[in-house]
Amino acid sequence: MLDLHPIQYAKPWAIFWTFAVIAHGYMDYSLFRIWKRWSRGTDKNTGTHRNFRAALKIWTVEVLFQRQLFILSPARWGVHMLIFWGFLSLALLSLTTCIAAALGMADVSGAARHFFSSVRGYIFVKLWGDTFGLFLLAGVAVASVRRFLLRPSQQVTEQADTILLLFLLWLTLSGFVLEGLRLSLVPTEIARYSFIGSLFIPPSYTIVQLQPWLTACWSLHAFSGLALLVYLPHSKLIHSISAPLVIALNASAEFARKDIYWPDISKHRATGSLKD
Amino acid sequence: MAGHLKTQGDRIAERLTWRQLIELDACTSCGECQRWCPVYARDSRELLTARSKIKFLRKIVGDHLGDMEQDEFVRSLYECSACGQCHVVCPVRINTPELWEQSRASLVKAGIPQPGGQIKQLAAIKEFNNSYSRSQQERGLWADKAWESGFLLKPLRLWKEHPAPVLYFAGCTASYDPSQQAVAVQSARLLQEAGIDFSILGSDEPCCASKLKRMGDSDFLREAWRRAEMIREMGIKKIIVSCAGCYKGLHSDYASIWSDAPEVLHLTQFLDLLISEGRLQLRHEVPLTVTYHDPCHLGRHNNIYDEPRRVLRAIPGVKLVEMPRHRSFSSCCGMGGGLKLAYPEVQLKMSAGRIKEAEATASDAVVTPCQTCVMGLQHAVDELSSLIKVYHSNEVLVRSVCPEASGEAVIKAFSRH
Repeated sequence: MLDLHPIQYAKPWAIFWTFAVIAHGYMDYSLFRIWKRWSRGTDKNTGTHRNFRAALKIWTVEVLFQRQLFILSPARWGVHMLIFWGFLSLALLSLTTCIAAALGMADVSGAARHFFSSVRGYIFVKLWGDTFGLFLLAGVAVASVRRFLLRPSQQVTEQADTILLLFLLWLTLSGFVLEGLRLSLVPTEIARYSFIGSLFIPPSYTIVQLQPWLTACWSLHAFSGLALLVYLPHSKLIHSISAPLVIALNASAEFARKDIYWPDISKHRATGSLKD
Repeated sequence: MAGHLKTQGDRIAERLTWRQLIELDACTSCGECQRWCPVYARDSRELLTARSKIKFLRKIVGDHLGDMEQDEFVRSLYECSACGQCHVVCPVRINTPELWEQSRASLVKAGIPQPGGQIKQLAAIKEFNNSYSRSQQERGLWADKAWESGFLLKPLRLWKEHPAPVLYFAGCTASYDPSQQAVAVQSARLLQEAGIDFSILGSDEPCCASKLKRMGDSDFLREAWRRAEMIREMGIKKIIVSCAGCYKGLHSDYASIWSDAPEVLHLTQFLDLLISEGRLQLRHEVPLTVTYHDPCHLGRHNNIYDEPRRVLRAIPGVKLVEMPRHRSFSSCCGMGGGLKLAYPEVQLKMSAGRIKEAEATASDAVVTPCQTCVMGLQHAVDELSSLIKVYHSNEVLVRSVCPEASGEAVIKAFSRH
């Protein structure tokens, strides 16, 4: 039976939570302002109550599986799915581990907290984090190659696009580096589950030697995550909120449009744009 | 009161819907709209793309748009046929035709008018009840001429004298335009051939006023409501429309206005039904290879793709060949959204592009059930000196049912009146 010794290194929790509250507050305020901006419009009746089931079905296919993008370009669909599921799953993981850490600090015990402090929980977190971290990294890498090297004619790159891609790349890579540093201190039997993070394991160092690096890396990664919260309402990432909302609202009105929502894929993929 | 002074951005935003304002933030500039846009295909300027218009709109409702940019934005908003291709391909499903029309209306209300050509036509519609600046008395003359010239089996009856179960609504173009009056004549004849008891409104027929909505005229709702009330008071329950624009108007634009909505069908939908029930006999073989052009107002805007194709396939001898871009990906001929009035040279390029697509199928003719598309495509054929024919779908159908009512014969006979 493997024994899990939590790796102890200094984390500036007090500063982190202070900034977390500020960053979250700022994000919430910015989102509220966006909401107010939207609220200037007329006709707030969504009509979703009439076709809720149909809208939900379309929303699932269009948002979670992004079928529209698949019809237009399976390659772009693949890249966007990697980023979408990678980002979403890592955000969920961060939220879960944050809650588990908060529960730990509050000395609340329970099944969830027990799971995350067990070997099984540790392995689950490593597998989850590495798999979806890899999704995000691969997605961002291919998107960057497409945007900056291949430069398809339909792509317009603005400063905000570059910043966002670099931001996501930084977040993913800093996460893997932090993971590698942590893994150098855990048994190999467990470290191997972190199949990407283990590539970043430095040669043998002691916990004392690594501690300042761990603290620095953790801080960079964690505060970058908070910076993303601040940046989200002002970046293209706002579409992660507005796009699913628009799809749901429009789907409720157009659910019967088979040509738009349920097209014959083989028929339509054969057609080309005028530029092709 | 420490009141919040409304900015121009507020005034424009207030006339957009809540959903449309969210749509502005949902666009990721992915460029799918650019890839498929029929206007951009002819004139590769980023300004013309849906994403560019949305970016400008986002700026204007946020009061961040400079004067120079405003001029560019207004031009790009009207240099668009609102064909809806960007709606179909948008991964977020932004309802762009609705957004453009509503934005045009919002800008006009905020003191930013339409291009001159559109203003002139809008004034004509409101003053004369048609876009041809002609008298209302002339509207129903096609029916008298058609009977006198022997194109009909019996004279057409006016609704006020004989309120039949079905009303045939000809629309302005088929009523007034000499090159398209055959559409009205042929529609009436085909309905008679199928034994349908129908009437027309004659000189009482109003313009559907949908062009007001297409070009962002803020009087649309009031004008449409008046017409809807008139139709409701007449007790009309079923309307057959041969014009794609009128169909979009009466069927879709009026949807929120009708208090007791009559059934509105496009002629091709009704003919498809009549053919399938065996009520319309297709007697003669028509040896033609044709390609079908989907009018935006029927296809992308109203999901009518199959019925016109079934009608064509039912005609003996007709071989239907599809262009690479068809159905919801059909490329627009540029006749919609007031584009031709504002920027005729852009419209011509779009029609010319569509004609080249049609030519590539080696068809004898390009067929469409919209007389406005017929006019736009024919203009391109003339400019290109193309050998391909442009037919309204009625024209192909009458060749099988009643060849004596061909378009050529109608134009010839009417010119003698």
